[in-house]
Amino acid sequence: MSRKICFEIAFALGAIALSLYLFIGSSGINLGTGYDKIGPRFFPYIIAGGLFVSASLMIFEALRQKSLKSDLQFEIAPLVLIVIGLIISVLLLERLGFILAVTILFTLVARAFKSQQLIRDVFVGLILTTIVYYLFTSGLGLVLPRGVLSGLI
Amino acid sequence: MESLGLLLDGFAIALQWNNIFWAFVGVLLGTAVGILPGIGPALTVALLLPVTFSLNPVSAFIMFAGIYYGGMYGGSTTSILLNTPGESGSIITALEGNKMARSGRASSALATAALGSFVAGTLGTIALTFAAPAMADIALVFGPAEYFALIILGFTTISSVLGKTPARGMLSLFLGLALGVVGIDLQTGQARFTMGLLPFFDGIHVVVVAVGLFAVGETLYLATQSKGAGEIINIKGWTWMSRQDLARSWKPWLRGSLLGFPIGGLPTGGSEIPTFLSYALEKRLSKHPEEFGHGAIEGVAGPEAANNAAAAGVLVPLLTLGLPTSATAAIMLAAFQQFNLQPGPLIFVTNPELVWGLIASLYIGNFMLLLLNLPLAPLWARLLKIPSPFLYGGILVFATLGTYSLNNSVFDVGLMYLIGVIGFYMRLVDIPVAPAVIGMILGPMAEQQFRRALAISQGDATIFFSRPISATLLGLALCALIAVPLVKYLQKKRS
Repeated sequence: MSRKICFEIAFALGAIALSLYLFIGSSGINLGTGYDKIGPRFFPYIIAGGLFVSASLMIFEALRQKSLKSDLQFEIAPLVLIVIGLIISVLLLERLGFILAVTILFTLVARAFKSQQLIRDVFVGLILTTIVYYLFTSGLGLVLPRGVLSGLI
Repeated sequence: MESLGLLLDGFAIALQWNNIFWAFVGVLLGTAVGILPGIGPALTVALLLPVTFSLNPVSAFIMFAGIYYGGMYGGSTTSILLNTPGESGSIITALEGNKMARSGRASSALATAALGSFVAGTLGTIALTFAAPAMADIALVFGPAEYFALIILGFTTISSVLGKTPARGMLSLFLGLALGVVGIDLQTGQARFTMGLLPFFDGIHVVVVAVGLFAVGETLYLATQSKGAGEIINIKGWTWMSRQDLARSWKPWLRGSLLGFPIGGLPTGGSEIPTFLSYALEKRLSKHPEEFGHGAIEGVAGPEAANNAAAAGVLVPLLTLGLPTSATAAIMLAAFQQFNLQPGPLIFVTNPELVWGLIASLYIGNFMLLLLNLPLAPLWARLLKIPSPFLYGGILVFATLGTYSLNNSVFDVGLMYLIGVIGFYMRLVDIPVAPAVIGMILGPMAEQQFRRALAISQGDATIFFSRPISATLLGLALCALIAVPLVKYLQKKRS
């Protein structure tokens, strides 16, 4: 079985698991009181059913595919780099502050897009995030985390 | 001719200096994001939502409209010069336009796209001016049952049109619907699927989902594909077209506009259908059918006009029914809700200055776009030279910024990243992401109308079939559900 078909079936199985979660979860929703004839459980049941049916259809389709012109291809390294960047950014956004945490994300994304100049990327990232920080906080009145730089900015 | 008087009032609003300024900002941003690969009008409007909280809603929507129209103009430039259509509506433009550019006729291709977009955008806006109030009058008789039926029709057509197969479109739609259920149920006040997490009680914001899918998902996808960057065709000087090109272009522009507006205005969505139809039509009518596939100007002029007219058409169901049929329209609907406005027939009565100011600004924005794009396209094309490490790094900077500032919440940022990774997976296995965004915003509306309809009928479910409009709409939805697989089956049998 080709890699693409495996990935398709895995996604559909995930969707089926979600539909079961929705189905079980729906029965646990409090009904509440009031004139509402339908209640808050009905739509989640419908959605769970729809998800189950469409995911099953997708598995059926995936299994019936015979020849694939091009199999699924993607590089792992850039994926890993960006996901690490995302994790660092979300974990350190408040501790390091917007400027530093997002500069790390910027640098890792640039690296994922085959940039070889680490120092240049850090530099560009710092300038970009600093400009954006001041533009949106002082300029447009938003609040962004200052983090460790809170004494400086 | 009541519309004309109201339109004049709209111009009085749109021509105020600050609104002209916001329209200009909108068209500049729209053209830029239309040109830049990996970022489009839906993402841009989503990212700007938190910034526009403090803005007057009229100005905010005038800017959003500029971004919406500007994205169409910019998208064609990228299709022609780089052969990577940014959105589905400009796939066909890339087909002939890039061939023209490769044979040294980039200037003509850009000119016919810009002029055609202007002609179609203006004709589409004129049609919108008259169709929207008429449609709003019809929509006044719509009760909850009709709205529910209409949304169901939208669901079936959107999920069967977008995506490789209807099952994938449906899967994406139901994922969006599931995300839309999270939070406090409006009718009964009960929490649903909040997993005990406080941020989930307010529901998941559509911006979190849209930014995750469009910014993070797209960036991950592009980073992992080893295809090198396409070849950008260089042009210098001003964009212009010869008299002969003009003679070959004007009829396709008009035909494309005629095809695009009505199809775009249907509650079914899909801007690519009119462009495909226009391409087929021009190929059949052309005196030079042998040029098609090698750079025929009619093949750029017609589809590009159809695309822009369809963009104007999409605003009819959005404004008069509150029914978005594209991802950008879905985000615009979220923007309306942000300002506590509900698009629909009543908005023409309650907020005439907003609706007519918005429509008037479309005329102005279109004119600005012609001036910005026709001569200056080569200048704009320089945006394509931004190195991709900086471009995508920058997109994630703005994605993080926009999502964080929604609620000053790191939780939202993490959720957005997670949804982005799922969006990347969806791209890998050919599941379209737009139905998820549309389903997420329309799902709660569908549920509310459904429950209201049954509350009115005392729980009698036949209300959906006993009212003629509702029954017709549901019948059409059933047809759409059956028709698409049936046509495919018959095609297979014949071949």
